[in-house]
Amino acid sequence: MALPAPLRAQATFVGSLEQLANVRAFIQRTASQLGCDEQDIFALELACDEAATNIFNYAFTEQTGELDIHVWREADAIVVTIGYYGRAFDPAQIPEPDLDAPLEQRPAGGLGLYFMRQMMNQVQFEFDAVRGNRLTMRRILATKD
Amino acid sequence: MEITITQAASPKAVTVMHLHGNVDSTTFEQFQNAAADLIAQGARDVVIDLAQTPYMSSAGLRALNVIYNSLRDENATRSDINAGVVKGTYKSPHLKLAAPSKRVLETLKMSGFDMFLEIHPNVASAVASF
Repeated sequence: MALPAPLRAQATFVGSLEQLANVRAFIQRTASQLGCDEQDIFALELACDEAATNIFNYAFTEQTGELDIHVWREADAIVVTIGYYGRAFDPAQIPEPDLDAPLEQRPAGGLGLYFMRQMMNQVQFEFDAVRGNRLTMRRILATKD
Repeated sequence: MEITITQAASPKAVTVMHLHGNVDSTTFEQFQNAAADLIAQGARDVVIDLAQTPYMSSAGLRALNVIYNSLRDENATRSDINAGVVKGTYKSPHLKLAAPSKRVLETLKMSGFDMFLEIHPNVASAVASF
């Protein structure tokens, strides 16, 4: 008898932006194993790419750092947590992009957090210098079984 | 990511950048720099061929924003552009996109870039539109 598919997965990524493709591949593989459809997989992949990019670019004071990623399935949702040690920031201070402004009047960049919030139903940051920071993202799945 | 360049005449000289691979925060600078080199060499009308780009993150949009600004028409007045934006009719006359995947199209729409960039189903149609 086939064993049931695991309902959670964990992986650690050490380094910097060169790990990004590995992060995406892990999310893609795991989301697929957890029963996500193509749209959910894309959403999770994009949100985790943007989150990991921001952490690699802004959170680490050294050149490299470590991301501890957990992914699990709940009845109607997928939850991803990304644990890391690094600089804190106030998400409320990140301005919402003005999507109606002409491109030439927009600052280049600044869409990462916006994409995370568009793709996920919940995006929550917790900062703790001792125990480590944790980003929790939850997506209610388009298809439920 | 590999980038190949071809030239087309439509009758204007159009430069086509064919991207081979994903555009994310590890590759967007290569894309942006390659476009900057072409513009420095005189390219004024550019098509980005996305047929071989399965995936683009916000980093790719950042590059497109920079390229869009570099190709902005010096003769277009602010009021012309603003009027077009308000009416929803303004799109860059110099930068056009071709053959985005479903996923890339979604990121373009989610960021509102589709309001400012023509998106064509293939390179031939993008080139012919100049």
